Amino acid sequence: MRELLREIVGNAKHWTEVRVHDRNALRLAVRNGVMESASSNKGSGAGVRVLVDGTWGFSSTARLDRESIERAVRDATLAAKGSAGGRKARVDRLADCEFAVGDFRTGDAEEIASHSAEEKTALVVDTERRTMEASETIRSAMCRYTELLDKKWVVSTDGADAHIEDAKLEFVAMAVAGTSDDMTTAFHGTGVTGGWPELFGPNSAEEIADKTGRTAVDLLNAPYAPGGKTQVVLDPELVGLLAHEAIGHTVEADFVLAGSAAAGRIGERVASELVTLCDSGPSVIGGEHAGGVVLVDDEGVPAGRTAVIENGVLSSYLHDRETAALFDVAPTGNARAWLFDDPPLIRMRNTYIEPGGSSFEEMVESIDDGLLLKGGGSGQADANAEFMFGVQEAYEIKRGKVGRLLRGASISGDAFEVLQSVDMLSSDFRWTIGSGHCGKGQPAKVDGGGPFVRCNVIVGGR
Amino acid sequence: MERLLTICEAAVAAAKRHEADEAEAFASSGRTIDVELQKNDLQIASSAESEAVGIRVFRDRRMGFASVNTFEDAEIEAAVERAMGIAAAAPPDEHNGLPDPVPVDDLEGIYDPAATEYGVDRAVESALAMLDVARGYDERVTVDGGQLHCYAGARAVVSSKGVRLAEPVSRLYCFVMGMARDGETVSSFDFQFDASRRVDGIDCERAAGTFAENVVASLGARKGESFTGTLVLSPMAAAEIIAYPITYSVLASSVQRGSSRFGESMGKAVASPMISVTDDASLEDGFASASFDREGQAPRTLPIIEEGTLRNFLYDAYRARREGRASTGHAGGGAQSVPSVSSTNIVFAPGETVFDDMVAGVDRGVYVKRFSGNTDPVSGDFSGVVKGGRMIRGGKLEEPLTGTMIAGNTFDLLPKVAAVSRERERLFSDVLPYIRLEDVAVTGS
Repeated sequence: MRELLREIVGNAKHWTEVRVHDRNALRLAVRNGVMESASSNKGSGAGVRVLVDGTWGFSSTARLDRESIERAVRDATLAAKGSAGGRKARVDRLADCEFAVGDFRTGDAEEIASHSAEEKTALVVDTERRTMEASETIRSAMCRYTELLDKKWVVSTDGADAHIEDAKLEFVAMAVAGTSDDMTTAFHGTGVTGGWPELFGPNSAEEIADKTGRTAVDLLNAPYAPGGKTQVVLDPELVGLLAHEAIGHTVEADFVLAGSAAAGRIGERVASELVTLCDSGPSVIGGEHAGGVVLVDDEGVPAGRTAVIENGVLSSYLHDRETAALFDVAPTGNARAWLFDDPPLIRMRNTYIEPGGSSFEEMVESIDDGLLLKGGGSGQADANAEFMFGVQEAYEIKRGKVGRLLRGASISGDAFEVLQSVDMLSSDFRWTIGSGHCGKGQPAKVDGGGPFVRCNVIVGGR
Repeated sequence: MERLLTICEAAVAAAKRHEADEAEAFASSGRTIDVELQKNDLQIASSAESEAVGIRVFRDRRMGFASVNTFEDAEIEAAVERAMGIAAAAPPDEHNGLPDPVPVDDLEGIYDPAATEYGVDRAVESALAMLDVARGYDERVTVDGGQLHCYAGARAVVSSKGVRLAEPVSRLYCFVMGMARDGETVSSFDFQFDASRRVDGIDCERAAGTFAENVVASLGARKGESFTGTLVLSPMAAAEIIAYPITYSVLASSVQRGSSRFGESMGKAVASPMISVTDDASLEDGFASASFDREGQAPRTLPIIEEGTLRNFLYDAYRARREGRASTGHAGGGAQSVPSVSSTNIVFAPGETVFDDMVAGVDRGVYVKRFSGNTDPVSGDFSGVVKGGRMIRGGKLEEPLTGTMIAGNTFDLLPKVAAVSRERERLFSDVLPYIRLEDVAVTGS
């Protein structure tokens, strides 16, 4: 395949990048004893991006023969030429780097294949049943298992020539407890780049089922959290969401160029000096199996660790080759495409806050009146760094002790103000948001995590 | 379309050869033109053709599904084998199976032949017009992203039960998103769009104009105060807070799972008499309009809530069979997904109050232009941040707000809806009015 792509790229008249992507996805989902999804989806093809007259053009084909890919090169070229007149700031340069050449392998497709369809189905059926049976008050339960097995080839005019194999897994359980006029929902999941040993390393499927059922039931009897600005301890899952949603999006260079709240602030103190926040392609902390592992991005750029905030100072944005050239820095390996027919965009990978030196117990003991917040829901961030995300469980902290459980609400704040307020970080670290996806026009597998963090946020209560 | 039907027939025949008891194939093919905006400029133009077929098989009441994004014979054969393999491992379910064919009428207005001729040049023109209108409105407006999208293609479904249907479809949409920036001050993000089945049906310039007006108006926002008071929801905010939990709760899948708040409320009052909602798959120019659903059944236009009273749930074949009834034609999904119950176009009836009067009647409240938060459709709990919002005092829209959260429960608020506007807006497949709610907790910072 690489040879064919090298020839096609070599014969192209303009700058050309061909990315062949073959994805096999398996999704098994059971809800209330019903197999709602049992599907195997194969999506395979070539995405071609060209740069003509300072403008990008893109096309794709599901057929992987020479003729079809060459037609996609012509179609992409026509699209670029057809739109060149409309582009004001021409792309006159792409940032250079040592491009990835060779084979790159992450995840464990062989280990995953060693489990039969029967075993995978039984796992999902049994976990859903166990979640449902955790309590009589559970009225609905769900379990979902997802495999994404990818093979990619990225070849470009500049010399990128990489073959990438990757395997990512997700496993989640959900429970709804209560009566028809008062219901609570709980959700626990795990997502990794790896195989089953990594997926079920921190928690077995049984433990995930039990935890999910228990959380839904406990929440049912909990009062709502009060609203207001509060001192809180965020768990590593909320820290992962904070790093991704609240900071990560504002430092994506395309967003910076459009004027996000992080624009023009490189070198500026934007957080407490205790805070070092990174976005990393490889899983450089907390085990090798973060759910957003990328060794080579979809422009063929090797993906490393990017310190976005170092000891409180904004130190880097996240770049593709186009924005790196505009900022005159090296590309950071953040160009990612979901499927062969998507052009690459600047996306995060594994976004996290580095651990500190406190213990969780010390952090709780230090709070007179506050909340311990655990488990995230979906989140969003705004251009002005205002963020919002859901919290599953909130526990009162009174006079240094964790007290009763409250129903989680949403938390919000100005991301940089919240990071300025960080005054304690625990010394442990966990990857926590690998079972979800980030949406930005296209989905992307990402992960995030961190230690426990003490800071101030606004809790939306009632 | 004949080609799609032939592909589907071949896939069903292959499944029968592999000893499926029943089989269904759904195929689609089409051409997409996209022009994207980024950082106040045109970013990339693309044009591509795509095709996909999804095969659902049943054997001994066990279901399997596989899809592939090509019509090559060998790949379809391989997909059939994968689907059969999954079915062999799946647990049996007595309600599994395909529906019988029903008469289906062609629906006008879901396909515009001009969409097949729509080229990159025209998409570029419209995308640039969006940029010009937004940037021309005020130099502080900044467009982070935007898109002009045109799809023209066809869909087909064939089953071993005798379903054999195909129709052409076109879909166009544009969107623009970004903010306004005045020195160090960055406004709330805003997102505006328009969608249509017709090439001439989308108004990109109007979307861009509204976007620009919204982001400039939200500059200089002040942090809100904490109180319990009135909310006036825009159609976009009402879609998140009101329409989403209602739609989720009338899906037979939610009801049968025990996760619908409406599960035991058929024929009962679930909302104020001001609320009437219909699911209408035949809505003219509706983004979800179709003459047949994912399983080849004819979608019925159903009142969901009539003057506050719950009237109907929505069913696909599987959910209907569990209750010994007929599908209402609400199987959703595409070639790459297993069919499941879904709503089509959700249409709220207009109310009697004009928007200005709705605001004039508010002593202290918040106008919510956009809601950035979570709505749990199971419990109805919502909590999140007001975007592009304005404080309302003494019946007047006052200063723009930031750092303001709202929280409440949709199902508790529905019976207490205080007003529904005459004005309505179309948001992709939904048609929604402005809605006024009372006694909602607002948290300032």
